[in-house]
Amino acid sequence: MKGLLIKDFKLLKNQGKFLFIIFIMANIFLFFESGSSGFIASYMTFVFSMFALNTLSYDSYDNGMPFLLSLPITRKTYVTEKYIFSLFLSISSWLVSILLRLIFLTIQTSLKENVILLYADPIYLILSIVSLSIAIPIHLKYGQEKGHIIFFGILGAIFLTIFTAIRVGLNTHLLHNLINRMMHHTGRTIILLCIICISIFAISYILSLRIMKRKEF
Amino acid sequence: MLKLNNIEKQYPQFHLKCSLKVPENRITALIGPNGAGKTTTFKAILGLIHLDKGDIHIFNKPAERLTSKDRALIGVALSDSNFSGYLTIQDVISMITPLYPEFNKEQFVNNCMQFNLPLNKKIKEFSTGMKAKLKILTAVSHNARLLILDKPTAGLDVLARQEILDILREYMLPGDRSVLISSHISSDLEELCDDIYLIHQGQILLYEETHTLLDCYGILKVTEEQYKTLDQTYLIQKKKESYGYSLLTSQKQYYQENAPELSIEKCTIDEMILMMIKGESI
Repeated sequence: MKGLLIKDFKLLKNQGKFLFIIFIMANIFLFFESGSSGFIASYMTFVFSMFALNTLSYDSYDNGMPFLLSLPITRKTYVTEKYIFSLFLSISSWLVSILLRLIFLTIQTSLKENVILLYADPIYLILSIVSLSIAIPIHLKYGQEKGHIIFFGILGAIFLTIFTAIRVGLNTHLLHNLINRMMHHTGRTIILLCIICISIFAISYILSLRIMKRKEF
Repeated sequence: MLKLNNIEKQYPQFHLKCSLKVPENRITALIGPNGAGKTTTFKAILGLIHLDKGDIHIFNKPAERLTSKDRALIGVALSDSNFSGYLTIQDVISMITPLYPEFNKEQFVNNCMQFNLPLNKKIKEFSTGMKAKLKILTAVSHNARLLILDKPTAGLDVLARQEILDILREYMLPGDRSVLISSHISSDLEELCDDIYLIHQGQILLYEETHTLLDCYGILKVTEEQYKTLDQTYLIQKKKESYGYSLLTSQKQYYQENAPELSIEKCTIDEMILMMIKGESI
């Protein structure tokens, strides 16, 4: 496990230029455009989290998987490491984005207002983890090229469903009521979303284990 | 050290069915034409494919029950698979140090420098020869007891091949190690291997000690008339030729003594493969 984590961090370091540019750009946006800081924070969390998927592609580069699995690691260790690495990336990039956002917003306005603003931020982390939970098993099963198409296809279908639901829901009072309730019970809503997120993450892990167990290289 | 008992794997257009063993202190070769089943056999040994039948024992344990510690005693070099090209050798060192308890970093770095492998260049920028050397150096860097080498010299020039064969000879010096190797270059195997398995269409056609093959096997070149009157006791295969037949025998000396008028040539591994695959059994 340790060897695999080191490998992924080395790959992360070797792709540092690209991620560093994202980081710098995020800072510049935050400085000049505090109004869109929520978007920047979510984008940063998402991009850094998705790097875990890139390591899957790097492992497969030039048919590298057979050799990787010939090392003293099990398929279960490989999958577990990917989930730990992706979770680490999601949480750390999210924490950094929150910290940056807090610093830049505080420079421009008061701290109290901004802490209230940040209440909504866990949703970015939750969305990143859910996205990874969908993407990892798909990439393990179908590989990089097909996996990307299927993953973005699924994301598109989810957004279309939500969009349609909102359009339909706006004509009724159902959605308004739901949003109002969620706004009034932010804490409970976040806990509920966290439980859903953890469940999706766990199901995804079990699914990935099964895929890897059956896969031939 | 390694034993394959009647392993079977069915693909839509290919069926692997073979048994073989690699005893201690031996270099065993698995040879055969492209698509014969060499790589599939290696993949089966390494647990990269699931077997339909049969079992594999490594270090006297079923392969599926090997612990990470056991697997650290196996060195692997695959023909078409390597570390991610986005890593450098320095990254590889950091990665494999915790994986292999007996990894000798100092020796590995020295070997890399001796073979002009840059430590800080991405592997994807390496030449074919450099990649092949890295694979072998990695496989022998952690005091493995068993090496599984699938075409380690493929695509290399004669100098690079010789360097790799030298590494393998040095690796065998302690006396408690074994190697299973496949290669298309028979001259490499003739000077390196103790015994040879010939595989074709997923089945083992022949097993023989290398020195027996080179010393005792021979090719008889005979006309049709000579063939009709020839004692066929020690003939294995025959192949139709323009002049009559070429015949593979496992007792060259018998025919040299009893039929001195016949043209009898030494059998090389290439000729043996050709006779076994293109010829028909007698």
